[in-house]
Amino acid sequence: MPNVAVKIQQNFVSYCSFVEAAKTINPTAIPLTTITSHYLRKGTADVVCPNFGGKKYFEVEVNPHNQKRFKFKIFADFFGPAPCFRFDSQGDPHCNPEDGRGLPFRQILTPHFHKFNSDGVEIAYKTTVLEQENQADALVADYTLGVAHFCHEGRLNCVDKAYPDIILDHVEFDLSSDDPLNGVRFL
Amino acid sequence: MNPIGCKDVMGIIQADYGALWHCFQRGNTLEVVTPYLYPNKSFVSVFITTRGEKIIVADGGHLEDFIQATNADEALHDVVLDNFLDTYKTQKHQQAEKTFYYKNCGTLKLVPSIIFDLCNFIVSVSAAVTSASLLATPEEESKSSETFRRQADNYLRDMVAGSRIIVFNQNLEQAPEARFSAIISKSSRLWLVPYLTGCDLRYFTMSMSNAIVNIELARASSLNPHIAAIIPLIDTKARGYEPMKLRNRVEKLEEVSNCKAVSWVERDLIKIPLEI
Repeated sequence: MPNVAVKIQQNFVSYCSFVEAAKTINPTAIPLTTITSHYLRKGTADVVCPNFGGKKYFEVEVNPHNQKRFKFKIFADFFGPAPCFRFDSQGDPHCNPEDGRGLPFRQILTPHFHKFNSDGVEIAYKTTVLEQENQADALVADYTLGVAHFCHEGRLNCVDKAYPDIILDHVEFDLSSDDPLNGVRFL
Repeated sequence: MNPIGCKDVMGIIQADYGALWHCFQRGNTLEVVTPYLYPNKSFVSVFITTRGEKIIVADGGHLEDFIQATNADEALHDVVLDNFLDTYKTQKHQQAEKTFYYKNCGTLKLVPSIIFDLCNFIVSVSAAVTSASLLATPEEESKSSETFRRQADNYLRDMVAGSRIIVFNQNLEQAPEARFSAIISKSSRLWLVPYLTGCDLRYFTMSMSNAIVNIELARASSLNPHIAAIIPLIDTKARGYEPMKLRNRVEKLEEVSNCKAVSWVERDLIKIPLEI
């Protein structure tokens, strides 16, 4: 995995314009039909942004055994193969480069967004909503609230709606725990 | 600035490093965020639980997810894991198609010690597989050298068309272990052209070393009196071409071939030794 997203570094003004431009997700309903190698459910929809060519899409990933663990990502071929803007509800905190405030400020706990700085380095950040613990907890507990916040932050809408419908097959879900060691015997 | 004392510096180091540790309840397990980092700049979390009288500290399956996301060779993963499992006395447990790495102890007093070992294990393994994934695979090298070979073959074929015979990638009959990218002949005279390329420095170095040996074998054979010129052709556009790190090899190559190496960007210069 490269440390620097070279295409974003070389086209940083375009990258900022893309992130800040109004974008549309199409279609409005996103069924999570793909099962990834880690048994996560995944679905995608195109992203339309008139001034930016190439393939662009929105990807949703949800852990069926822990619905508080989900990711939203925007991919744009023009800016390389990795997502150029994303959100993680749970998972490992991210370490940002030093910005003059000292070590503790470099650690960004989840939930957080990721975007890139002018050096092509991925940085994590929290919006003012995510900085408030009760609001952050509510977003993580319900991916519908999560996708609404993602669309607001990423300047995405969904044709005639503010955000897309994420469609899950609820029958399969095991809501027992967000404990990754649940049922693991070890000894 | 005033001199800084140990007390000042240790105070701030301990406070700031300490601020990176966090603990969250996850069902019957505690997630502990540590100051250790994966190579992708994510902080390492470890998970603490109990089984019987034992305290377990595990990676939660995250390390295996990280390894699988890299494209390094699977055999290499096993070598790396075996080495560090032994170094840090860490155990592996597979269940429900997930792989966990863990350590256990009998008292709370030893928990920091096994967290220390497990985190160093996670950092060492993830760094090693990341480094391995950055090395070019034989497939990448093959694709890259094939692209250059095709370009150079076409260029030389057009240049000598009609006037001489040219064959590509052939061994010399009089020196069976010597192989040249292009062999040009006219009457009883020979022009030998080794191509030097590589998609990383390692492959480029090997390409140059092989060329030096091939030239020495050709020079030592009965063909030597018939060799009009040996002209090394360097793929200066290749990713592995790092002139400063290859300087001694280029000098050696020019010494054994008795000819200045020709850069691909100045390929028309090859006409000069071909006129000999």
